[in-house]
Amino acid sequence: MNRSASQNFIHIKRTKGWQFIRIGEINEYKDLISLMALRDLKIRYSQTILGGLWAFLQPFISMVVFTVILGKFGKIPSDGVPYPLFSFAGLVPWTYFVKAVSASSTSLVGNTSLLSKVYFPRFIIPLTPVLSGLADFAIAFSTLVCMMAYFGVYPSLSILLVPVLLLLMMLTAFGVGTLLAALNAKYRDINHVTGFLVQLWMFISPVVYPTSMVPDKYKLIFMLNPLAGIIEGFRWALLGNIPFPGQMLACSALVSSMLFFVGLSYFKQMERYFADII
Amino acid sequence: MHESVIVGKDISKLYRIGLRKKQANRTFRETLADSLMSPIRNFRKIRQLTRFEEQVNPQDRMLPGGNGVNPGRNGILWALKNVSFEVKRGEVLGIIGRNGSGKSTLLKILSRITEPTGGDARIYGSTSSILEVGTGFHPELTGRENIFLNGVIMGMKKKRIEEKFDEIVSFAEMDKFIDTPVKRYSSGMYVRLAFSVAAHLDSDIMIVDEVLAVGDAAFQDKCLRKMDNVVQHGRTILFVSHNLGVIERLCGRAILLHEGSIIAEGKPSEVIAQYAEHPLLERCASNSLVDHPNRKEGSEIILREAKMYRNGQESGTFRPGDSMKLAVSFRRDQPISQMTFGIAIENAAGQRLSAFPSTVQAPHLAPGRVREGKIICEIPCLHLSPGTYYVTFLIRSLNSPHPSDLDRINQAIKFTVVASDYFGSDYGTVIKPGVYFEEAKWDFEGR
Repeated sequence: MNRSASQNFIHIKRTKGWQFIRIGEINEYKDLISLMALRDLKIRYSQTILGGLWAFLQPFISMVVFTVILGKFGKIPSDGVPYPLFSFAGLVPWTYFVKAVSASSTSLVGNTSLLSKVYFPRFIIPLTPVLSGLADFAIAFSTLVCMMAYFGVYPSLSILLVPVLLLLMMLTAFGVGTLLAALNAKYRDINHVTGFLVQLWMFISPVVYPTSMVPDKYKLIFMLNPLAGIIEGFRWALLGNIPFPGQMLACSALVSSMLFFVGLSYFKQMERYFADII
Repeated sequence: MHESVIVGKDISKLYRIGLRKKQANRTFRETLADSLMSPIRNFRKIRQLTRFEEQVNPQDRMLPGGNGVNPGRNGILWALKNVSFEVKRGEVLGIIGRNGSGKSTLLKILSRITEPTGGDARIYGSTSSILEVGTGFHPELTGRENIFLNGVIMGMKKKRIEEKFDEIVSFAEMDKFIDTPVKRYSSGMYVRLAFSVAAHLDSDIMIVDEVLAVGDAAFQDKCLRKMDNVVQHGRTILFVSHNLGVIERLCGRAILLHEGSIIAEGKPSEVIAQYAEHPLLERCASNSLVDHPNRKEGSEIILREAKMYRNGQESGTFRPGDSMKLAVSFRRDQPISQMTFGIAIENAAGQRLSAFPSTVQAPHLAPGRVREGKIICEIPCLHLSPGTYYVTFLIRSLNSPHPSDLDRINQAIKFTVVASDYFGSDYGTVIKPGVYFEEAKWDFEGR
C-alpha cells in the first residue's frame, strides 16, 4: 500500500472556526477570474444598439440633470471649477462604485447553478462585477478627460494618484459587495435594501456637492464615509481645485480596509453554507 | 501498485427541512398578531438554516431526526449516515440507489460544493466533477466562448482548452455553429456541446452524476463509447446513474445507497441484483384501479385492484427468469357471462410486446356468470430484457354478438426488469436494447 503520508491530498471535512482566504487560490484560479470578468463584459451590452456608449451616457445624463437642478437652480458651489465638470468628476467614480456594489451583492443569488454544481473559491463570484466594472469606468473616464480638455482644465502630476484611488474604490466595493452578497444568500431582505442603500449613500457622499459645503461639526462623521475621501481625491487629482485631502484620504483608507476585511471574513465564514441555503 | 485515490470515512450530512410550514390562521386578530410577529419568527427560522439544535451524532439513529420518510419534529434529515468507502486508482466505481438515497449529496461533498456534517474524505489527485452539463453556459455567448468559460469553470486551464478545442468541437459535431450565440442552438446541440466539453476534461479523477442521458440515441451511443475510452485510459471514475445497464457496462465495482447508508458493495451485477430484491427498496406493488386515469372512455368500473408478485412476494421489480404473478380483482353489479380477461405488455415507448387473452390460453377460466372475483395470471419464467414495462388489462364478456371491452385500462401498472446474471455465466444478461431473450441451446460442430 503506497499511500504515503507526505502525498498531497485534498482533505474534505467539516470546517470549524475561523476560515482564511487561501492566497494561493487567487493565482490558481486566475484563468477563471479573467474569463468570468470577460463574460460579464460580453453579456452586459449584448444585443444593445449603443453598446459601450451606455457607460458614458449614464453618468453624462446624470451630470446634465444635476447641473440643471443643483448647479443652476440650486446654485450649489463647485469649488472653483464649472459645475458640470465638478459633478461629472464625482459621478464617474461613483457610478462605478454603485454598479459594482449592486451587481456584487446579488451575484451569489444570481448564480445558484454555479454554486450548486461546481467548486471554485466562492469569492470569485462577487469579485467579477468589481473587475468587469472597470471597463465601463475606463469609458466614462475617457469622457471625463475629454470634458476636462473642453473646459481647459489640465491635470498636473497629481493624476498619478488616480490608480491608487481606483484601487481603494475597488477595495471598498469588494468589501461591501461581498458582505451584502453573503448576507443576501441567507436573508433575502438585502435584495430590497441594496437599492435604496446606495441611493442614500450618494446623498452622504460629495458626488454632486463639495465637501466644503459640509458644516465643520459634521465633517468628522462625513469623513467616515470612505467614498468621501475617494471622490474628493479624484477631484484633487484631476482638477486640482482643492488642497490635498490628506485627512479624508487617510480616513477612507482606514475605513475601506476595515470594510474589506469584514466583508471578506464574513463571506468566508458563510461560504460553507452557500450551496445549502441558496 | 494500487493506491487509493479517494478515501471516505464516516461521511454524514444533515439538512434542515420544513421551514416553510404554513400555519392555518384562524381569527383576524390571530392573523394580525401573526403578521406582526412574523419578522421575529422569520429571522429565527432563517437563522436555523445553518444551525442544528442538538449535538447531532450520526451514530444515534434513534434521533427524532430520522430519515427522509419521517423527518421528525425537528425537521432534520440525514441525507448521508456514516458512509465509508475507498476507490483505488484506475477504478470505476458505480453508485446506485433510489431517488433520495443520498447519491447526489455524496457527490456534492466529494466535489467540495457542500461540507459534510461529520466524517471526512481524502482525495489524492486532481478532480473534476460533472454534476450537470453546461454549467456556466450563457445564452448570449457563442459556442466558442462558452467552451472556454465552461472548461475553465470545470477546472481546465485555458491553454489546455485551446489545445483540445478542435477535438471538442468535432466530437460535438458543431463545426459550423461554433461562433453563433448559444441561445440559437437547439436543445440537442446545446447538450452535445456541453457534454463534449465535459468529456474532454483531463483530471485524474472524474465524478459523474447521471449525465449520460443526453442527446438522441446516436449521440448517447457516442458518449458511452467515449466513456469506455476514458475508462480504458485508466482514469478513476465515480459514476452515479439510474441506468443499471450502463453501470454494469462501465463499472468494475458498485455500491448501493439506501436512505443515506451503503447497504451493498461489490461486483455490479451482484449489487444490482440486491437493488432489485432488497425488501426495504420494494414499493408496494399493489395498485388500486378504481380511479385509474388511463381507463378507456365508456368503460364500466369493473377492475378494482391489481397486485404483482415475484417468486411469491409482492414486488414491482423483476429479474429475467423470475416467475411473475398478476392478481386482478374485479366486481360488477350485473353478472358477466363468459368472462374473458386480457393482458398486454408494452414497453416504455408504447410498443405492444405481447398480448395474451385468457380466451386463447384458458378458455374456461370463469364459466357461467360471475359477479366478482380475482383473476390470477402467472408467467412462470419472464423472458423480458432489462427495462420498464407496462401492463394493460381488459375484461370482456363473450356472450354478445360483438364482444367489446367492458372495462379496459391501458398501461394500468408498471413493472421493471433489472439486469441479472440469469445464465450464471458471469457475463450478465443482455444489456443492449432488445425486447426479450430466448433460452437457446448451443452446440459446436467441428474440431
